[in-house]
Amino acid sequence: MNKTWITCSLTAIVLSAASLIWAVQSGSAPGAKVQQTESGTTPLDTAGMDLEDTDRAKGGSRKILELTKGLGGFRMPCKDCHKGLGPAPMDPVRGAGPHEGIVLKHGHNNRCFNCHHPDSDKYGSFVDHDGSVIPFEHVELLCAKCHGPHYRAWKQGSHGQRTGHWDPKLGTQTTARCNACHDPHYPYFKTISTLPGPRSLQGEHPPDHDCRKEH
Amino acid sequence: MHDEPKSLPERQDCTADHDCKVTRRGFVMGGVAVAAGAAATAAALSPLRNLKDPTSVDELLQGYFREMTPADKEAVLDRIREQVKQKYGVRPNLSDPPPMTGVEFMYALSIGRCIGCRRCVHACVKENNQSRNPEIQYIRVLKMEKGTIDVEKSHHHYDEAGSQDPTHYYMPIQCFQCRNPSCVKVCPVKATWQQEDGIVVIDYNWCIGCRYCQAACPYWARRFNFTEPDLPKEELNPNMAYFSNRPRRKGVMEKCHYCLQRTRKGLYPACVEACPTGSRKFGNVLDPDSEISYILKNRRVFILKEEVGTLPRFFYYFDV
Repeated sequence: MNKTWITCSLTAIVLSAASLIWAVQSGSAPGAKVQQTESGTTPLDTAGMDLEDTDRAKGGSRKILELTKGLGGFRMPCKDCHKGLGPAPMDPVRGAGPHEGIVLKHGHNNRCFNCHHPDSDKYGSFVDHDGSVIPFEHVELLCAKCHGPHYRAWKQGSHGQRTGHWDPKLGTQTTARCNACHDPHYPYFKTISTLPGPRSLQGEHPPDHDCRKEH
Repeated sequence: MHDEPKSLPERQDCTADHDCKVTRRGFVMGGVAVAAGAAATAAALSPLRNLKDPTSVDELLQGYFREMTPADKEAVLDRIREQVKQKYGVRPNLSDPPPMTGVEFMYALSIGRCIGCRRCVHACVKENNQSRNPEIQYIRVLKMEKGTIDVEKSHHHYDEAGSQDPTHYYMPIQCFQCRNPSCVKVCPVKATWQQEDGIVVIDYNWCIGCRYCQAACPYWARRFNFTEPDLPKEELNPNMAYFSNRPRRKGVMEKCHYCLQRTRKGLYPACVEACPTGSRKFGNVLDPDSEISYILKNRRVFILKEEVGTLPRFFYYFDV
């Protein structure tokens, strides 16, 4: 083979390789600048997703979420109004006076005193089957009177919402108590909004996209 | 007396017999050919100069992650932190959390409770730094007619009006982190593998984008980046892990990874946190007191496509 052509081919290969490396590593070539951005932009709101272990307690913990729904607008303890009032009328089917606004639609459970303690000195707590007190803080024992299987499932974790840590030894695991999700007077859930569905993998067109003009 | 005109030197072919000389003409022509070749090569490669965010040589030459020393891995993480800082302006909290010992993650979903609201889908997108345009969603909620389990008849694109429909039930699907994963078997470069806690991970720097895994998965769990992901800076989640939610590039696969940047620190995945009806249950099946163990022991559970033998770690159940 002609030595000229060997020399020329080798030179061409070396030069091509050099151009390739230059083209790829062209950090300083115009048009290939990496975008320089400002530092110190506002961090994203990761509330609830923070991994900085602000809620990591030694030994972890289980916590119950206390939100109360549907108290008919009452935000103060019962005893604030019911000081020194006499016994309640027996077996009311709907509230009187300030309680008239509460709509009770709980299936077959249509008596206030099925849940609320009727004794005048025990307003603010709930009543068990035998008349004993169920404290307000343990409302799940009240719901368990009739909804036993759900209570059993809730205790084990298969019913209801749990957030936080799946491993309570590593941090707080929060279990929602019954009335965090269920309105005890009107437990039927209303429809909530639905978020958008799947999007095209080819990307979205802007709203003023004119197919004919663009293509 | 006229001399014999000297004949021009003959063009000499280079053969074994005699030495050939490079003639001046030959040299010049050779040089022209080389210059033309080099110019043509450079012209062909010139679009590379306009690459936004080009691959650095370090990234191109990165080795196989499982064979790296801890120092090499830290160097890789540092490089990625720098890249994210340059592109998004936020220095990320990037780590490579190892699987926890004595832990095998499993997931259960209560079909009776799911209302198809898709809050899980969007919580996942916010947590895991997916591309927004096109929007990649790891979770797909199937709206199924009551009375059938045939996923071919499901609706994916139901809207507000079609949600919470009492004549249908809703069944979200995502990667099931199978115990016998077909995606891991078919990867030609071993860019995806299963770790000890059950999570099937993908090394985005090793993936070549052939999509065999996407073809092999019977549950359509894997997503491919057909374009460069478009993630606005203000939506970046800076808490990242190497195998999960660090920003990906065009041409690599991604999928649900049980939010390992959260779950390997003891937190629930984003989808479990977001579900308003509490139908998603997650935990360590090796712990007999976990809710997932209780569900698998005490509830009617089923898996999808049992006959293909993938042994998914994701169960659907009824809470009655």
